[in-house]
Amino acid sequence: MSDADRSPSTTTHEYQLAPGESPSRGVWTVVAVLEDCPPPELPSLAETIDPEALDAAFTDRAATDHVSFEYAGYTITVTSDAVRIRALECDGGDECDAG
Amino acid sequence: MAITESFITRRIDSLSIRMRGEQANDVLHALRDGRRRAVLGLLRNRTEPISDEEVAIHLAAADAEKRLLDVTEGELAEWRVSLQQTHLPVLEEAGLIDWDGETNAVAISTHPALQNPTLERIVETDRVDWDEVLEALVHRRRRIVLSVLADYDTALSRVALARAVVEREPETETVETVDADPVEDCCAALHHVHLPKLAAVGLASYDARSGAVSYCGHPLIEDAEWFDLHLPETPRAILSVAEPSQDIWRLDGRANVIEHCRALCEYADDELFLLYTDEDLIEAACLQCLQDAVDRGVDVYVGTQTQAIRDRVREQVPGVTLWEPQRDWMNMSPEREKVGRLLFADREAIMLGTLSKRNDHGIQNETAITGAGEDNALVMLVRELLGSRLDHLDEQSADFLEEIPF
Repeated sequence: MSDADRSPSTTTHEYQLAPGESPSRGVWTVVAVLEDCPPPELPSLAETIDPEALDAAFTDRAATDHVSFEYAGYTITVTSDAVRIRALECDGGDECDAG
Repeated sequence: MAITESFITRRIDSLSIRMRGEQANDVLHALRDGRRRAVLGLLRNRTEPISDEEVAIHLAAADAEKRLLDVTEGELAEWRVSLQQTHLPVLEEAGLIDWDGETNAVAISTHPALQNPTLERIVETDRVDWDEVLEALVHRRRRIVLSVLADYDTALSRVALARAVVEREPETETVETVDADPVEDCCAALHHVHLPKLAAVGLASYDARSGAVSYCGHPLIEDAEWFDLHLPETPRAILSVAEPSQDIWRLDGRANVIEHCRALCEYADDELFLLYTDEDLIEAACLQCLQDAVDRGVDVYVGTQTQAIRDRVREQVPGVTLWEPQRDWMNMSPEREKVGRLLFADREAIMLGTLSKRNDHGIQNETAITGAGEDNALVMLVRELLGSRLDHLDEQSADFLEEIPF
């Protein structure tokens, strides 16, 4: 990873979900990479969104296009095969920190 | 503002994660809706199938706390639609009900899970929080978490828990990636998904900061019994393949048993083998049958450990070969039913009679099972068990004959 990882808050990252990988797993995996910490040290995703409900929104029968929410200082947009993530615009205060 | 995009493509082709929902349990999924629990609660008290309309009217009345007659058309229609479109298909899919698509009659199924005491309690007890509790339990990983936690008196660290969970999960359960360690992966899922869910319904407590997890359990579900429910994911089909058999008949009542006894005696052409344990069973009619068989040239053997029977048979049907069983294999515990008589005709037709405990009036009821045909399983079994004895009877009886005073 280069400067892009720690670039200004407007950077959008996109993470392609592996086949069969659940969107929720994608979310905590990509945030953990960006925060450079193990996934269990992030705030629990469950405090923001029900991870199983999120995953269920993209099962075959459901027609959800995307779901967006804020988590751990990022705006997360989940689609059926990818997680897009962008740091919240802020002045670098504590609320933007994951921990 | 300028948006730059960087792509994190950690796509791992060899990553194979189980399909979502695959590990959800059909039975618990079916039970996690109050309406479906109500359907089961209603059907399990019925012996006959009832129409889906009848189910709807009962549940609508119970739901609105009114009499069946007072259920409005609207309420009934709403329940019927929700049952037909949503709930009955889920229950049928889980194998918990039999639903006849043509007649719309529904009945409780023979699914073994319905005999599970915990699930019975869940169906019987109307609790508002069952939906959430059951949803927490639907996921196998969470049930394993609880079973691990229940084994410890103290709190466990998240990592230790993840390690134990991975150990107990079937291998296919584990996410296999080239770079993801199963324990780490499990640990992350516990933190983000499973532990918050269990904590939300009070089944476990979880301190996300310290990572300490401990067991709480549920007041209505005993610790040991629920977490490893061992629910078959699909119903075992034992009952559906077993058909009422014509090979084995059951006879009830002394008179019917004696009648069949007589029929077997008449049926025998070559050999008739009998064992008696109870003197009362030797009726005059039986002795006459035996005499008739002897007169027809049939080899008749009567085995008994009871001296009185031997004396009586010897006296009244002298042509019978008496035999004393070496082993007391027919005299079982007096508290239980015991085998009263055994008749084996030509080694191809059999009747085994059992005597119940004496009732207050000293009367024993007799029932019997019968089998006929060389290939009949019961006949084959007894032939094998008795086979060697049958062939040595003559030799043994010679000893007995010596004891006979005349």
